[in-house]
Amino acid sequence: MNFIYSRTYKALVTLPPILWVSLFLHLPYLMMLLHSFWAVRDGVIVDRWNFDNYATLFKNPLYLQVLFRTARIAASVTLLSVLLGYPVAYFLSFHAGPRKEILYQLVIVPLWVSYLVRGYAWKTILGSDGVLNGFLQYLHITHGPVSAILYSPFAVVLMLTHIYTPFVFLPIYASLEHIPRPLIEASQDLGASPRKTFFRVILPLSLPGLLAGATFAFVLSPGDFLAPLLVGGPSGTMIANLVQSLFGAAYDWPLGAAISVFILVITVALLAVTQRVEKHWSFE
Amino acid sequence: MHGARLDTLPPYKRGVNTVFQHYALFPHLNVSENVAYGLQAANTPKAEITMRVNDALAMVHMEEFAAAKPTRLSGGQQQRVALARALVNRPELLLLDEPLSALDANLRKEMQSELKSLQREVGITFLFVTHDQEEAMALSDRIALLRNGTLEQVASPREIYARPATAYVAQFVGQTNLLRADVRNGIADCGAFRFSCSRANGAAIFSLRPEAISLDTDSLRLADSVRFSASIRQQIYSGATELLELQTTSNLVLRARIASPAQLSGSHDFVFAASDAVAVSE
Repeated sequence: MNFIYSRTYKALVTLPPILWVSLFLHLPYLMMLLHSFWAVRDGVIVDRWNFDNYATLFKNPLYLQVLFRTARIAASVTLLSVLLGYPVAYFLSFHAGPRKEILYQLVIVPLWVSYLVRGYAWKTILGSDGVLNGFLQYLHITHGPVSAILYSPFAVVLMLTHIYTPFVFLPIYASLEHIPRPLIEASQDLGASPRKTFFRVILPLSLPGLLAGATFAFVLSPGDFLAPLLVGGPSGTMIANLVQSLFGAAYDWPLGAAISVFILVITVALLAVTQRVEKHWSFE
Repeated sequence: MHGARLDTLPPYKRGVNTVFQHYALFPHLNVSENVAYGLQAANTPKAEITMRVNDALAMVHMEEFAAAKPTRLSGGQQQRVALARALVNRPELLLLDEPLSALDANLRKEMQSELKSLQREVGITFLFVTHDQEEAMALSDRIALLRNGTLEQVASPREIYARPATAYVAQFVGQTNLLRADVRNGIADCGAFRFSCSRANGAAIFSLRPEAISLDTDSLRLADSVRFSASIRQQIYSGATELLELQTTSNLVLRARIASPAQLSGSHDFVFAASDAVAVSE
């Protein structure tokens, strides 16, 4: 019995996960960090320490352009997911009544469908001979297939919003469900109209969930490279696609690593900030 | 209220404020923001809000906690804030929904007397919902007794106790003996004894409080005294008084509360005044 509380046992139990994380997470991060200061000479990666990779990232307009586009797309996806996810979560939590469970499952169901399947679905919807174009022509809004819909930043935003809305919905829904209902009664009892009750009680109390969901979408969407690959086209390329090609065909690991480190730093900083704000906003 | 229906109005237009069972203070607002909530909803000028909030907090002795978050307060303090939050709006009616049920017994007694003096101070009608009969008796000017959503009786605590309208009220407020009797020409007969009453002929129920019954000693000779003898089945000591469970020769079981005598046993004579047997409806 005492063995369970012994040091040996604790070490034995914790060692495998520590090893796993070190080997497959910390070590690769370290390698990435080292590579970002190395260089490629005659098609070989050599450990010649320099800051050229970071300089390139900030000097080359291509990288900056793609970085800004990525940030714009991530911001749009976040905004749209919140605008879609919040009302759905609100409706479910406060007005769905007995249909709550089934509607909740319906929101979650897309998460069971493979990412790739959803990507190809958007391709068929947005493509030149796709559902959307057919519909627009049927309504005589357009007179031929519009090819600009697919392979654009717009298509990427659409697909990523579709993918991340359930993730944004979930924490918002959870925080709305946690609001004690007597608080809403109290607000109305004190003479606040439903609108005031929403803005002064419900919204502030659901901010932690909203922030968690928004962070989720904003941090995850820049790392996405499948959506731009499937529906983005050249004008919808995102930073992850650049990194992928630098590590692949372009064989410039040091530059790819530098970009990755840059994004990692931004992401971690963002998470640190939101975590602080979230803590400040939680009312336990 | 004032002859107008309230149940058809939305809650935020009723002019009634409520102290909720678990206070329902807003956790993201501090004490004074909680108290200011109703005034802000009514678009009261800022200066007036500050003044009235301060007054309300002073009234419940919570000024020093104005900047505290409700989660940092004890149950009694939260209770006071909830009271201030409701009273600051000067409602025409204050609804208190079992406000003391979450407090421990001592704090409860303390808050009871505080509530009572507060009500006298502000002069607003308090509608106090409680399941505790003792609390209802102690605090109320008028009690409305509800049973399954229908009114049984509305009266002052003294009247409700002395003149219960129904058998249910008699049993619910305090202890009582319900006597089923047959009335003939102004005489009620319940088997064990008879007594005069002013009921019409037929079956009737009377409520007789345990403390109306006393041991028959020679010093008590009232005109309408009713005497009976009974054996003592059980004696429950409770300090100043004692509860006796009596059984008459005709197997009628009665409870009597008398000033503590020594240990009693066997058969004794008891007496009560016929006027203490109050006719009640079913």
